[in-house]
Amino acid sequence: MKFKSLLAKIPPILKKFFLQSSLPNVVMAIGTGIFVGLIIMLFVADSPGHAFTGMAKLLTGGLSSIQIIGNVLFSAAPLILVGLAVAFAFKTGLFNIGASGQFMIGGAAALYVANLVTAPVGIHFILAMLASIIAGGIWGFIPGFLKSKFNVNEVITTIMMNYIAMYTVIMLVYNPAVYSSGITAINNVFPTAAIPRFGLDRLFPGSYIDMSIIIAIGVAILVWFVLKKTTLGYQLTSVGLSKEGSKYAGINVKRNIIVSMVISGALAGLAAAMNYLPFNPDVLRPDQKISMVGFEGISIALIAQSNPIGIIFSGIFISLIKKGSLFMQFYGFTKEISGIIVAVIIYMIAISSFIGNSLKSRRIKREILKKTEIEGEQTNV
Amino acid sequence: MYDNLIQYLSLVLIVAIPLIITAIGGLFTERSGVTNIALEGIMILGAFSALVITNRIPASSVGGPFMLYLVGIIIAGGVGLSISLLHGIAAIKMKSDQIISATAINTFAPALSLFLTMSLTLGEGQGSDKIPVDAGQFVITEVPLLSKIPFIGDLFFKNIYPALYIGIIILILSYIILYKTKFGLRLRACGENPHAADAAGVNIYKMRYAGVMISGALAGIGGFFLITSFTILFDSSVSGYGFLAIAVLIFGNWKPWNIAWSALIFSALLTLSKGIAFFPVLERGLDDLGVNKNVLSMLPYIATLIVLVITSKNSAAPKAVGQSYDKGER
Repeated sequence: MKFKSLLAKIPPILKKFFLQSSLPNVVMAIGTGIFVGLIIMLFVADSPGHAFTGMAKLLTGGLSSIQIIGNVLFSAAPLILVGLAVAFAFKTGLFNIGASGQFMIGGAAALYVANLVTAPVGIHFILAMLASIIAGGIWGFIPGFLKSKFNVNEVITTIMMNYIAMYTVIMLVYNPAVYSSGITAINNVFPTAAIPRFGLDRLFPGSYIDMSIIIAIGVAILVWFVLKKTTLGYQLTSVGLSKEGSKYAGINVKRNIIVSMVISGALAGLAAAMNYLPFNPDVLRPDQKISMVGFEGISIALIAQSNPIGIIFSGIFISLIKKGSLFMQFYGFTKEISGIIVAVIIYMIAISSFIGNSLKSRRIKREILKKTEIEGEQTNV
Repeated sequence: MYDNLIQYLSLVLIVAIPLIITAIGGLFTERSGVTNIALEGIMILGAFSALVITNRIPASSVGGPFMLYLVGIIIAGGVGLSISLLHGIAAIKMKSDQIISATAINTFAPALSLFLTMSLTLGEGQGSDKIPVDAGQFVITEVPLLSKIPFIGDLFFKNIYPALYIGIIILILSYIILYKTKFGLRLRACGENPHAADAAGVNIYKMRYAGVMISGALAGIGGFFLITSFTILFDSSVSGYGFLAIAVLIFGNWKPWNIAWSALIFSALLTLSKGIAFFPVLERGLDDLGVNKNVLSMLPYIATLIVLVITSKNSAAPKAVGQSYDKGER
């Protein structure tokens, strides 16, 4: 009874936000993921206490100092943008599994501009960013075009584009004009093109943080605005909800599919600029492997259920447990446990609507039963 | 020249077999109406578990390397089947988004495999993230009599993995099951028009579970075959072959024989950059033309895009694939 009166005191807007949004589902999913991770750790740990400290380190290791918090935010920026890329395509009903390829190609483009173009500080990095956006956009355009023109399944074309990107990048890396044999990668010293730090390094002393996290959050808000408040966003989401319905409403479905894939690719390309342009950048190596980042983006988008604002948090969350998993290793746990936890979270999110619905239907059934009982009593009287 | 050609063609066969088996698995699940992009993850876990067991058991204790191979197949298939059930329950019973639950499995599989590899090897004081693969013991050096046939003997009956024969058997069986049995007809109906099938008395849920389970078992076996045919160390990855198998499935237009052909074509292109080394003349010629080897490596993927565009007009994709089935819905 007390609980109910407390509930009544919560402002209706907040109540609506917490109870009607998918937040409870996500919290439940994350809780289940951590629980399963803990059970696995209890199995392999020397003592139960070890498992609990290991789990605590996984969740809070990324918060253990101001410097580390800065680094968590720093590595969250590209993850947020890749998550946004995947989510944007999701909103139009497209599954962009090719964010990795768009990311790799975007990274090569950014590094080419960073190395080969001379421009003043402040402008140079914007040029490099634009290059990555355009390259990623082109890489997204091709599957979008094939889907809208020939109705070719975008899951397959984006996977193929991943491989084409991988071999293209290998060729681009070995170009003597940009190749640095010392690091067997594209040269990563380009003072004028590095992302400005905006004084954030003074806020988080000792960390690598720069304004990429601000760009990522800004883009997330922009994506939210475009999807929620503009005609374009309305059209894109309505195509995602029903292609036939949108067609009858006079929306150009084919054009919207292309637009969605181009923007999705551009976002993944921008993520690569955030990854390869900082003062302490990742290096672009000629690896015979598809970058994992696109798949992480899928996880991030799914955990946030494609909500752009939610992606800011899920991106930081993934970055946090990635950092935390390194701390956990000191306690004898392999860092792959974090991957298992993320997988469980995604699985729980996949089935959460079923669980939610069955709980709801059970509640309704109970209410109906009660009602009929009361009615029965009344007729008896 | 003849020897080089044989070498190249056997490489093509070796790569094609796991692709065919996994794509056939994808065929069963998609024909029943459930997409399964978790094939990649299932391949990893199938290969992992079969490797762990076959590495522990000496071949002599089960009656020779071929029996050990069969043990590996049963384990890979069993594990693949159980993992696919996770996807099946989510996709069929819980009616969740099939892409999402499959993505969960694709995230789960490499993480679990790496985690177990490290936990298992840590116990032995190695602490490696790789499992050694002893594939050499499974090779059949020569089939008596048949290996004397010119060309065919050299290609199919000398220095081959049993995977080749098992793959061909699976291919033929899959055709018979899908097109010549009641079960196959019902399975296909579930993917085309589940409501009509339901009205005709077919249990849609049961059929879809069957499709998903077959796909899991075959993907697990495909993973085991892939790893035992051309790696010496398993690092919890099947390098995207699960996704390539789905491409082969679409390339093959959801039909068993077409899948076999497209897997062979795909594999011929896939091995081109490696295979060109068998033909020094061609290799020199390409170098003279200034063709980068990476362009050759790109060919299968570009070719797939082109073929998909050409065949898009008469695609035979199951109509209800990817949609969860609700009895109450009309």
